[in-house]
Amino acid sequence: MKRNISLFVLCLVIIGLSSCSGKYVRGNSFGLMYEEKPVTVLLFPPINQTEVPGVEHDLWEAFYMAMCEKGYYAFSPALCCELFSKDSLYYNADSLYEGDLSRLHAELEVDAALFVKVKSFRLDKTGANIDFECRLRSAKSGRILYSYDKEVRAFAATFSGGRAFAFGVPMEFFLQQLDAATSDKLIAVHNCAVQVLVDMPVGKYSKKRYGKDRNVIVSSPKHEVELRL
Amino acid sequence: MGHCRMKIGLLALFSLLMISCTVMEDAPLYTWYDYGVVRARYRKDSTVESKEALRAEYINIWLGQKTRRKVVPPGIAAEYGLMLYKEGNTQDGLSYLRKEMELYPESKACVSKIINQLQEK
Repeated sequence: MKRNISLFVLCLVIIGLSSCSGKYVRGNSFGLMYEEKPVTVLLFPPINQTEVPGVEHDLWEAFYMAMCEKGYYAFSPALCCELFSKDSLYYNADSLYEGDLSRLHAELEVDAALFVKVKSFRLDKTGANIDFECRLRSAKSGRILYSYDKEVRAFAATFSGGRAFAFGVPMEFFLQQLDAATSDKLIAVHNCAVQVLVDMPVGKYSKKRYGKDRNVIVSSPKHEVELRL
Repeated sequence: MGHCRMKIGLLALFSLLMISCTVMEDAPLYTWYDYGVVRARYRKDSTVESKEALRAEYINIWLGQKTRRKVVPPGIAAEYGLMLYKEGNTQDGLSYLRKEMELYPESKACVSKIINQLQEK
């Protein structure tokens, strides 16, 4: 029996060591994030390429909250709308997706801009499948600091002890205030945003981990990370 | 024999727990309450009721930060200030917009631009 226990512990050590020595860690996958150290992030309204109306607005707010939780100063959609209300040039996410962002840095002191393209959106009983193309581009250099291009499966809610949670917050309010389809969609897009940004190095407001997460293993190493334009 | 299996099972469970603890991200930085839902409801149906719910949510967030940073999330003070300003409560509105810049100095260029735009109207 002692032999069995030793074997088991040995297996655990091997598994632990093999996972720690992964090639894909935040430090080498998203090195430019550590080099440029963006603080302020302007979120452009997601480009909706699906036939689902309004999903871009839900995603915009979801990404704003998720970016804040990552430790960045993200401008909320309400503030962005006000900011762009007199200058439609800023508002055009399509033209700026690969265009020059230097004006954002020069006039608004924005460090980076987050662009999201929603290619497909399918909602079912338990969650949603969303095909994303997401990139965070530096407003100083134009380089791509973080990118994510694949389909995400997100559940409408995560359950813990019989209560539904999103962002670690009880979600009973969803059920009371919105119809089931809308609340499912909203929880699913919030969970999707969290998943899309899961590998992003943390920002300066996540003080405990800021600059110390280079060796965190990237959870989706299969997708190729584009580091430069 | 059964006792040993139970021990191994417990050990495995404990190991998994330890591994999951090291992989898990930290607790949330901010307390958002129901901001996401209330904001969506206001966007989809801008009634007096949904606006009051959003106002209550801003106050909740402003006063009730219980998570890691214990500071109101980026943008919330400015959003509340914007709402107050547009309702005609310009002094309080400007005060909250300025609080955003105090809490987050990096927001100064954008918030100043918003203040200028509001005052030009």
